[in-house]
Amino acid sequence: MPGADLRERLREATSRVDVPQPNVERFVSRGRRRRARELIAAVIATTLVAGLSILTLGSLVSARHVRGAGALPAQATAKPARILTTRVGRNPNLVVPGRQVMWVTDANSKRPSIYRVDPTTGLVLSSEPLAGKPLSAVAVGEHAVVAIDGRRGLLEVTGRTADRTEPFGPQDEEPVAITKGFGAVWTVNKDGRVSKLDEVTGRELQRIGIAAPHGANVNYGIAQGAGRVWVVASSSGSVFAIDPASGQVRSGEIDPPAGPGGNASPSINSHLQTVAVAWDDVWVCCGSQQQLQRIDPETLAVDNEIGLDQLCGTTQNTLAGDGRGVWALTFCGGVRQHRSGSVMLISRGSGGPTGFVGVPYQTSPVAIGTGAGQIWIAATATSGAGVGYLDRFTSSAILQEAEGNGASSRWPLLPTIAIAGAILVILVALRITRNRRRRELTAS
Amino acid sequence: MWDEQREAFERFCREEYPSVVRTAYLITGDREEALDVAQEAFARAYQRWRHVSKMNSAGGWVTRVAANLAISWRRRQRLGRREVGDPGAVLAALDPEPVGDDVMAALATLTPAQRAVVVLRFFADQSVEQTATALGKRPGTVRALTSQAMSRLREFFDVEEANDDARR
Repeated sequence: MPGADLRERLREATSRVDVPQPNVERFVSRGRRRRARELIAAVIATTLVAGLSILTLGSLVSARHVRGAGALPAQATAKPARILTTRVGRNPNLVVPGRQVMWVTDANSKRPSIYRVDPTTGLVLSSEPLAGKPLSAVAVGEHAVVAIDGRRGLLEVTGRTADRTEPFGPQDEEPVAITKGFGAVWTVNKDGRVSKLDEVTGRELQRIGIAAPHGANVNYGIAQGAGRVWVVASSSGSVFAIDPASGQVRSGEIDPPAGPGGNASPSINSHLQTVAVAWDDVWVCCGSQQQLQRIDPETLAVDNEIGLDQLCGTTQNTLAGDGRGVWALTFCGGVRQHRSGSVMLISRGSGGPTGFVGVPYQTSPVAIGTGAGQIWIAATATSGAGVGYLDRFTSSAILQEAEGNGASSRWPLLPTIAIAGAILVILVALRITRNRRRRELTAS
Repeated sequence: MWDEQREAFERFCREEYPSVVRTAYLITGDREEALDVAQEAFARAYQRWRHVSKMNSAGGWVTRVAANLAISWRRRQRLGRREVGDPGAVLAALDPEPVGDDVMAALATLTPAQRAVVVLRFFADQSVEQTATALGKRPGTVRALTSQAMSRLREFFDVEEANDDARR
């Protein structure tokens, strides 16, 4: 059948169809209805997308930016507004940045644990219970080495899965403080001696007596920097500088800092808690008097003191040093009235506070650690405890919140309503479509 | 401004409506459904009138929309026919007695796509490329569908002629 013939037949068939006059009014009203429906659908879709975006962004990272610490004068920290944390137990006490991973320990008396946190996303990757309260820890390669209160020997937590702990190093000593540097792991033991361990095998390379006091009530701090390993003990006013190669020890007496009213406090020496080093600046912390003292690394004499309103924390993790300076957890900077803490920066060579970084509102920093190019903070809040970092570029306090680890936050109400509404509309639309199809089938 | 647009739309409706209804009728085989399809097609044209009015062939656009709506309707009917499971009754409802012409009966033997291709090419006088664009297919597919449809129609009319001869 040729096309022309078919064309003729088609025209002939349709010529008999009665075509009424077009009802333009109906076309117009139907077109308007379609336009309105399309507009509503666009609004719903936009709301949906916006809501989902807010939810996603809000749940991945929530940042609270405070003015940069470097530019801030002391006592001028801005008031933060929110609490958002990656939950790491109830009582975090150590923050140890490692290679592409961060270790946070929880000193919760019921179930002390160590958490392995992804520093990029803030997700808790895994956690492992510990046999006791963690006193000190370092990251060695992909692993963490932890000193446990009342336990002989160190524990090594495997890096990839954090699901196994193994003894590390000699198990006849009771280490209480630990640091890593000069190619070795250094521990201060409860008997007042320092052990130098091979950081890969844990074999003891050297045991150094430093004539430090020892006993049940002695706390130690250890750090490395300025070409030395530094040890402070809480029950004496001595600081010990150990040559990492020869093991030679030099000690110096730290004068008691002036207490309130300008009088020297006789009990100050019993409160030396921790030591931190930034290049050639060696700072020791005296927790009960809220004093920081800088020690000249050559003479081992105190050459500077900073009095603070209140230092946060009483453990070794009140101080941390990096290339920029020494960072201290403190309530200073006008944030105390908001019941929040702040982090003080003492820039290298400055001799005093150069700025404060506020952490989110009603959040108290309890431990600090430096590593992986960041300053990491463990903090507690009414909703739980978390870990976060100071932004290296803006020096703002950023506490991360991760999904699926029980972190609590304010649930965004509007996006939730929008999503619920959108789901409802979709369900109704599906129902209408199904009914229409049924009617059509019935009619046919 | 609005009045001018409204007038232009009314003029467009008066000019194109009959051919759109007939195109839809040839695809659906149902006058009432063709009227409904045409109404929907013109409603969509009004919805996008700002763009449609600037097209070189606004009539071609509305015809294509109507053709697609008619194909969708036709497919839904075929689906319903499968689900209901009474081919005879549904076929009768689907393709009422042709209005005195066996061409509608012949078209009823085609698939919705073949039927649309035949109608667009031989009734709406659209080229292979235009038909392909309208139906969202490749030109090669349109040619193949045309060939299959023509072969089936030829077969149908040959049988009809033979039957007529036998009756005589």
